[in-house]
Amino acid sequence: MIQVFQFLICIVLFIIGALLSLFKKKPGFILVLFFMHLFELLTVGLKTGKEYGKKLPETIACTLCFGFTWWKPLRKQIQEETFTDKDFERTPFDLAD
Amino acid sequence: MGVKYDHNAVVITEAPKLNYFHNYVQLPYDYEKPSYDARRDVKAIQETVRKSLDDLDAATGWKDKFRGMPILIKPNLVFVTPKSGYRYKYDIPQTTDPRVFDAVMKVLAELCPDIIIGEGSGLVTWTYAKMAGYDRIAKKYGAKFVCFEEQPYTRYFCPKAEVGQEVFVPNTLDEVIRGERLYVSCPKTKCNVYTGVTLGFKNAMGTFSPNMRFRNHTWQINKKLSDLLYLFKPDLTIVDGIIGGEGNTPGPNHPVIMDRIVTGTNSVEVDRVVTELMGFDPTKNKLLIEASARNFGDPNVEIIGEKRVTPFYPAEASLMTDRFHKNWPNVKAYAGWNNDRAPKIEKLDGNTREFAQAMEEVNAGYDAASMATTFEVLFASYTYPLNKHRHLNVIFGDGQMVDGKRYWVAEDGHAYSLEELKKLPGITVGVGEHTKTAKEAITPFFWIRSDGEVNNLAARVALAMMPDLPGQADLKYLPWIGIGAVRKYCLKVFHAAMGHPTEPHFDAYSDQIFTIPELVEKNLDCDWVEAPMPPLDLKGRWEAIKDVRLLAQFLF
Repeated sequence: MIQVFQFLICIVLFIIGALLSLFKKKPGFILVLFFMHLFELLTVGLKTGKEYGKKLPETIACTLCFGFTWWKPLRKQIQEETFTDKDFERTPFDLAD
Repeated sequence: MGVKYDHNAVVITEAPKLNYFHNYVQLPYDYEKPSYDARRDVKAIQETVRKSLDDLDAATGWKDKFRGMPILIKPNLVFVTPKSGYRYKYDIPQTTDPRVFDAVMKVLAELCPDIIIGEGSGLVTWTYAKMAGYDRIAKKYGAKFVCFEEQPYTRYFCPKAEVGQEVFVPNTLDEVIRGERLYVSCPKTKCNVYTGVTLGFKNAMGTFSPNMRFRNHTWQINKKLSDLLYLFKPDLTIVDGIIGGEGNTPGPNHPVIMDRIVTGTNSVEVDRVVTELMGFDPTKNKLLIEASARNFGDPNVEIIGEKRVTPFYPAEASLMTDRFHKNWPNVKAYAGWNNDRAPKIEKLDGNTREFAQAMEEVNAGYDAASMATTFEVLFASYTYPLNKHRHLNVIFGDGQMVDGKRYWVAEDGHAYSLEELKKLPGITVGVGEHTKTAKEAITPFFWIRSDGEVNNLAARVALAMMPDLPGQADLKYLPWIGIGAVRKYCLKVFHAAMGHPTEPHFDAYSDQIFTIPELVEKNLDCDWVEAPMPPLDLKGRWEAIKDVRLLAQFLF
């Protein structure tokens, strides 16, 4: 749900940027937003999307629209679900048999 | 109908002792990648499932009967609840482990080219399948995932049934009933407040149309589920016993390390064996008693493997236990029934706790069980500490007549009259149609009319316990649940508009047995008879469209 709010904020920011550039002739805000997301796409987004198994068009669209609010949760899940053999050894901390 | 085996067997296969706690509710992100198949737990589960099915094949020859046949496989999807859903530190083991299901699919896909994965979770199945990763499993094996509650319905009549004579099922099951498609049940090992345990053939609860689920969801529930075996029964049962679930299910139950896969060709016998493995006496389980009474078991079944018991603590379908009072010190139950199944009130004071519990159990498939599981959800919720000491009175039954007055017995041994109930502090909830005799004592809005209306009951109790967070406070998936519910609503409206036969109105207001009067004498010896419904006319379509309610789609 938090992620949905974050997505909504991104959409609102883009709308504000579009309105500023259309009516106030100030395209700076939307351009900064776009280039920030493009930078994220090239540095982390593409790599994360590929590693997670997302399709390329989805990765590009989502990173350009939502930036880190899209790729960061994926990154976190990848880290949490990357295991070594040791992670599957039963320990005394598991529930009692 | 289905496969006829010359010899039935149940195979208990031990899994290597590993830590299986990673992804036992949801598939990991790397499913379908080599890294998933290389995981130690995944390899161990796949080997265990294959060994169990191979041993079963050696004993029964099931593979020859399945080869080339289309199959319908049904997992058990209830609430898919990852850690963040409740205040517990572990995932809630209510759903068939997707790793086990994947391993089963791997074996079956080698034999059967046409596989349907079908489920009706009683909730938003499409969303839960997505959350657990079942949609990805279907995609991997080229299978079709069918949400039963989104299908048009078809009607059958089971003349030999005691309770479930008229049955509405999704039309996907037509082929299974006619024996043209084999049926595989793949449940989770877990307790159940309504039936003690929920395993191989209880899993078929999810094949009923939504309104059918709630029909006779009362003291008749064990008969109703056993009757369904006349219509169809699993041709193969594979029980996920890697991590079981103990305590009050459906609800936030607790994981139990079992390390086993149990497979078998007769699902009543599989359930009997797994019930024993869970530390319960199958001869005392009412569901198994009913199924055996209808001769669906096999006394000559061969059991392969060691019956090592892993004790589960039982589901407690009662508000009158020590554990319940420890959790909810100010919630008090009052039970009184005026029927032949109820113990008779001989005195107004000094009754034992056992007597009150026996009175509470009279409508065991609904009242106390539904309340117990609702309180389990509230107990696991983050707001439990705020609610722990809240006063709530719960009335079960119509009150037993003694000298012209109605009485409800509480655990303190006193039989309360209506006047006494009216003076109780806090909110008073009336559970079910029967309690309308106590309506004067019930707080407005907190009388739940229908017997079997479990979700309505849960919602109202949650309101009574405000402030309360719903179970599954994992808001991440809330949009998906919303989308799933709207999808279900649109599909149901579409079916109604197209004139496809739909299920009957919600009719769980009494204990009546639903029959088809036009049944002819020659059909009385059949296990089932087709009773198709004609396509809806224009008026019928409009009625059916009006019958689909958006809010209800979140629940069933």
